[in-house]
Amino acid sequence: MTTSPVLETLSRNGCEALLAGGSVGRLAVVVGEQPHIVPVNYVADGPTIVFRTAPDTILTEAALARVAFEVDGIDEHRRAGWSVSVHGYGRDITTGVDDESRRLRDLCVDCWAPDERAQWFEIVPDAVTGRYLGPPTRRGRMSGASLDGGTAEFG
Amino acid sequence: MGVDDMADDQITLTDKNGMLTLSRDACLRYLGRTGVGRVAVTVGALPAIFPVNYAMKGDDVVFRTAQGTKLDAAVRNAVVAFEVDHSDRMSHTGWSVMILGPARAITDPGELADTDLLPLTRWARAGGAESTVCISTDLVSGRELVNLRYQT
Repeated sequence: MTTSPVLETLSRNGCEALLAGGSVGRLAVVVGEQPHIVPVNYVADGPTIVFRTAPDTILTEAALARVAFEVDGIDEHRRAGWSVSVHGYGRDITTGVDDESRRLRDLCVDCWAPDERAQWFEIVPDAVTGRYLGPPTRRGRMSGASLDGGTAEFG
Repeated sequence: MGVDDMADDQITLTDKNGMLTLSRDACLRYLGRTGVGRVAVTVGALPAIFPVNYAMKGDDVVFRTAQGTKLDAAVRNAVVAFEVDHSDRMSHTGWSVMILGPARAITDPGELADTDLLPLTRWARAGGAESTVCISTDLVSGRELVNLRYQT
């Protein structure tokens, strides 16, 4: 027996709960008019994403002028999945002495790469969107996140 | 398969992040696991990223999009990035492979019929029309992170 999958738009709280529960996300940037994807370890502070990188990678502040950051959880067996995207811009908080930079640098970003990841960035969010696609669920059961009503296009 | 299973010539240099750079063969082997990947597109000069279920058709990545969606519009004859990765939270190891190239909608009936045999999960709701899109792996790059603390 199969039921037709449903598509639901996630609430802001639902999106933030899912962001908080992850540790690896994918960052999409446009470099030389071409899109690139880089997986990063991150910590979420509400809708704000904090990550570290080594200096001199493609993740410069210029490349991060417009970013899409995505976290997802996909269960192919159940044919259910969710995806949360944060659109915004990257701000270098490596040396900033403002309260926000200091506070974010105190967050523990667990980097797996062996080198010293001395460059800190935050993604200042313009928009946070999330979708769930899969079998109908009881509201609020999905990974502790609450689901909003309403539908949106998938794709 | 981890880095230990690869022949020495499949691993070349480490990049600026201290990660191993994977050869084309190693990249294709990881892509061959199929499953879920992410497509990044530019929509009005802004990046957007979508998870997709994909399979390999020869050396090409193939996935389906629901027609009329943002992703479907964005991949039409546009240069896109496609990425797959795997990470292990316990050992802090992982790999990622990215390809970059123009996305092409498959329209030839014979070629489309071939894709029916691919293990592509149909996510679209009943009755929804889908496009089948492929990306060549001509430009492929990959990195692998090995945690030396876990090496014997």
